Parts: sequence; C-alpha cells; structure tokens
Amino acid sequence: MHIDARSLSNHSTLNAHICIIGAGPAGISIALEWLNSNHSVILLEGGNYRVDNRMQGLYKGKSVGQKYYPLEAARLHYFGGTSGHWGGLCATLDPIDFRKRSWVPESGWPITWDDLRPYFERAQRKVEISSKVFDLKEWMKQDAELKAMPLNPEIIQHKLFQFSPPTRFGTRYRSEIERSKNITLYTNANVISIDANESSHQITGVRTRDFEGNEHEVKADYFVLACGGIENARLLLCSNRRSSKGLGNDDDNVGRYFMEHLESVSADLIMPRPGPMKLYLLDFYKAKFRAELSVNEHVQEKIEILNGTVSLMAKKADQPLKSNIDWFDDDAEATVKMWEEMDRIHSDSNRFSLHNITEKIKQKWAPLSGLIRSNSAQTFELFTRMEQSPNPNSRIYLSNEKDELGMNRITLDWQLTMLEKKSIRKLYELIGQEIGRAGLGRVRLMEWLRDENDQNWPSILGGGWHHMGTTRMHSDPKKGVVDKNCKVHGISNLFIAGSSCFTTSGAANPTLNLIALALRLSDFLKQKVKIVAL
Amino acid sequence: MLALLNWLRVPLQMDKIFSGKVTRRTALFYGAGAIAISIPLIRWIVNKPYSERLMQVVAHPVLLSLIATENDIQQIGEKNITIILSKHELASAILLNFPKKIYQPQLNEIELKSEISKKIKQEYKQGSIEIVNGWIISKTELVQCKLYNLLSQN
Repeated sequence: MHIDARSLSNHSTLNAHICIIGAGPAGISIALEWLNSNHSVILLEGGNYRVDNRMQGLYKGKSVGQKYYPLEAARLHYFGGTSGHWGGLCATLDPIDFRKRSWVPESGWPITWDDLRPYFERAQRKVEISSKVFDLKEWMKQDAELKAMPLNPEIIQHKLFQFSPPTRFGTRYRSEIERSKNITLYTNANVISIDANESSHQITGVRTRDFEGNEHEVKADYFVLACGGIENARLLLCSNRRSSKGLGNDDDNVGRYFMEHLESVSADLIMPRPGPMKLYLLDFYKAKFRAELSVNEHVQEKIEILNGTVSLMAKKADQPLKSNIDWFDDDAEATVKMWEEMDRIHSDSNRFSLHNITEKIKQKWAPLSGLIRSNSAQTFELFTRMEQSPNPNSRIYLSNEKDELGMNRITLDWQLTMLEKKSIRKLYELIGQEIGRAGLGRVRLMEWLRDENDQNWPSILGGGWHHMGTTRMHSDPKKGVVDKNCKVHGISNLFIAGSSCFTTSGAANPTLNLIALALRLSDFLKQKVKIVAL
Repeated sequence: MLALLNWLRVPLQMDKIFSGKVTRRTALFYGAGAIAISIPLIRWIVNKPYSERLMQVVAHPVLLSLIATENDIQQIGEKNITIILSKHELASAILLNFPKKIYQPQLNEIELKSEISKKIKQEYKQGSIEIVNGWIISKTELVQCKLYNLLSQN
C-alpha cells in the first residue's frame, strides 16, 4: 500500500510492528522480506517517486576535509534511494576485511565473512545479478574468450565483480510494495527525530515533517534506520531531546569513522602485445562481470597494507585527467535523468558508450614516438579502489545551519592517512613487479605516487559515493554504535541497516554487502517477533 | 664498480674466502696482496673492449623499447647510479654471470637477449626493482637505459 503522507491530517499517529526509516536498497530489501507476513510494516520515505532538487536540498552540507562531491547530489532522497544513480558493480567483501589486522587501527568486525555468506546469495537476487558464482575459473570455463593474465595468485589475484542491470530499487520493487497488504509505504515522510523514553533505552516513536510543516508520529515495536551512510548518523545526532549528544552517542562514536573508497586513476599499464583483455574491460550495460586485480591477503598481511583493487580502462589519448568529483553534477535531477535515459536506451537494446565513466575498449594504436616504440603497444589506465582505514577523525558532525525542515545540516570532514597512500603505492609496485615478471609490459605510476615521502593527495582523487562507517559495528559500546546484530548499543528496539554499520570498508563496492547485512538484520528481527507466515 | 655490483645484489661470498682459520695478520697480508693483484685485473676485465654490436645489444631494453619512447628511455637513463661509470663498466655489470661463450669471441645475439630477458624477469620476481620517472623497472633495465644514454651521446 502507498500513502502520500501529505494527504494525512496534521498530527496523525501511525502504528505498525516494524517501522523502516528510509526506502533505499537496504530499507526496501528489508521490507520485501516482510511481504505477506502477519506483521505490519511502515516504510517511511522522505522523498517521492521522482527525485527533485528541493528534496535533495535537505541533504546539502559543508565539506571541510579532503575534497568531496556535493553532498546534495552524492546520494538520492527519493523512493529507491541512491540506487537511482548506481553503476551496478557487485562484489562480496573479502574474509580479511572482517578480521582484526594489527596494522589497521580499529579493524575487526564482531562478525566474520562466514556469518554473512548465507546472505550474499539472497542479496544477489535482490540486485538481479546473473550468477551466484564469483569464482573466476567458473566464468572462464563458459567463455573461451576470457583469458587471465598469467600473474602469480600468491601475489596478485583476480577479484571478480558482477554487474547488476543495475537494479533501480524504486522502479523494480515499487509495485510489489504498493500491492502489499501488510506493508505501507509513506512518501513525503521525512523523519526529523527519533524519540526515546526517559532513560533513552527504548524508542517510543519517530516524528515526520513535510514542507508544509505538517507533522506525524509513527509508533512501532521495532525501528530500523536505513537512510544511508550519512543520514543515519545525522538522524541519531539530531535526535537529542533526551540525550544531548544524540541517540546511541554516549561514547561519541556516531558520525565518526566515515569511510569512502579512494578512487583515482593511478598508473598506466603499457603492453607491447596485449592479449585478449575482455575479462578486464568494462562494456557498460552489456558486461555481466569484470575482473579487477588485488593483492593476496597473505601479502597484505606481510607488508601491512589495506585491501584495494585495480581495474583496467583503455587510455584515451591526450585527455586531461579530472577527478570524478570535478565532473560530477550537483544537479541530482539532471544526473538521475541521465541515468534513466541510459537505462531506457539500454532497454531498447541499443549499444552505447558512457562518457566519463567508461567506454567500450577500442584498439587504440599508441602514437609512434621516436624510432623504437612498437606500433602495437596499448596503454591501459589503472584505476584504484582502495579501502580507507577506520579513522575517528574522519567524520560527519552537525553544523548550526538548518535545512528547510529545521534539521541541522551536516559537515563532512573526510580525513585520510598515510596508510592509504602507502597501500596504493605498494599495490602498484606489486602489480608492476608481477606484470614485469610475466613479461606482459610495464607499469608507470602517475606523478602523485612516485615519491614515497610525499604526503599530499592529488586533485584527481575521488570517491565512489560509498558512505560507510558512521554508525560502526563493534561489540564494545565504547568503540562502536551498533552490535553484531545491527542493534544500537543501549537501545532495545532501534536497529540500523546499511553501510554506516561497516566496521571497515574493504575494497568491494558496498551495495551488495550492505543488502546482505540488511537481510541478516531482517532475519534477526524475524526471530525476535516470531514471524508467522500468513 | 663494486658499488654497482652491490647495488645489483651480486653475491661476493667473502665469507667463504675467509672460511679457514687464519690469523688477522695473515689475512691482512693476503687480502692486501689479492687486492693489489685484482684491481688491475678487474680494471682490465671491465675495460676490455666490447664490440660495438655487443654494446648495442646489451644496451637495448627490449620490452621497454616496445612501449616507451626513446625520450622516456633517455630520461630513465639520466638517473644516477651511485657512481659515474664507463660504458664498459655498465655493460660488464649486465653481462656478469652470463656464460662468456654467448658473447665472446662470437656474439650470439639471440641467446644473449634471452639471458638478459631471464635476468630481468628474475629481478622482477625478487623485487629488485626501481621506480624512475614513475616507471617500475628492473635494476638491469635501469643500467641498460643508462648505457643506452651513453651510447647515444657518442
């Protein structure tokens, strides 16, 4: 069922067993798990079915640290959430990502990769990827054109990524949610505060407000906060009626440990006679998978670096490098329109290339230069996606400025450390060594990686719109916001879904993993309420 | 030259030379004698003229030359290697431990290139690499670029 909250009379009170705040991939995935159960679910979405810039304006904020995307456009505030501009890249986190690593401060999840394993397959169905298999060998058996570079897997491994169509959760699951008898979706229902009882140990309800100033209250047995890696923390911090520092924030962890993936072109791989590269190159909307290069976890441990991956792209001639941040449009409506247009073209079965993100690899002959360069050499840009180490100084916090609904805006202070830079440099040294050992070509680092003592970051460094860690999972309430079941420490009925719970970021794109974690949370809630199917 | 050999991690195995029981004085005596004899010998060996063709083959960083411009290679070669060395010293460093029969008295180019290629791959395997102007290259490749530079100056 769907109700536009603007149609409710002012100060309505809504009741349900479960209240899910936020209808992005995490919130919708959880809601779908409760379809046709005998429990009533309220799904609150602040936005509408269409993205609009007035609503996006609620997400505006200041960025004071490392250069970042405009916050009002780096995530989407409408039904379906940020899946509206998702590229669809899916991979599971690696087992090492969950472990305590002595060289990575504050690492170590209270759960293991095996705890999440059963949920990956279910998450894969939600994002509609074609296979549950992430084993490269299996894919290579099915396609003789797939050839892997002969790199030593004890040093450099191939990590397989699969592509979701990409699933736009808003359009893909809208009718299922609307048809449901036990799930009620309220749009235009922006939650402005979460209210707790006097001791702050139990949530009594949440309050919503629209642009007209109408307010409503939602009461439920359990509340799940699923607003994304930044808004989850913001909402807890803004809910300070009972606890001055915000809910779940007795130990000042909410908003801290903000993590992104460090993304940037970092080096060139020049090959005199490249073999078939289909395995590595992105044919957007057509490819079902792609292999990226990563460092074997034993080597990561030995040389004490973070997890990261490297993808290959055909190098464009004479194109000045720009950060993703620099070309990213702060007009979210325009961005979503662009994606919708691309989705439409794709669904019309037309092939095309996507400017600035990727393009189909073409045989680009390297310009002859001097007398000795081969005319068949080909250059590939090597693009990094590097884990960020958990860092309490990398954070979001409330500013004094208010948004149109009267909520404090946020300030983002994205902070990086030298461990990230060392890790990127080592990653490329190892790839360069392995490429050299295999006689495939040579790797040339970009200027910003050449001096190992240089502590600066280049202007081309970007992120992946992957907001993680701001309500991190930790078994110790002093070191984290949620426990291993994604329950907020010290509050009996408040849970958090999404990448804000990630203790460490790993190198894999977060969507598939956050959905897996959300499904695990959903199962936990089902045990709590002893669900009985209708 | 010794500095170059050390940089290339050539095992000198001095410990084996002095493995027997000798007094400090005897060791110094024989050591000084050995040095007195070996210095001119080494100089003669390393300065023994190589043929022009051999120098060209040794100075040719095969794979690098397929993917980099001549200018790139020259810029790599401009990097200083500890001490200033002659062309012959650089070539000798590359040829060290290769069977002499592949380049003297007759030059077997194919075999020599193969040996150099193997040596370079081995260096990559062992992590014996340098980063010069961003290029991740093996130490022998760096010496080749240096030699290439000297040869192209003539």
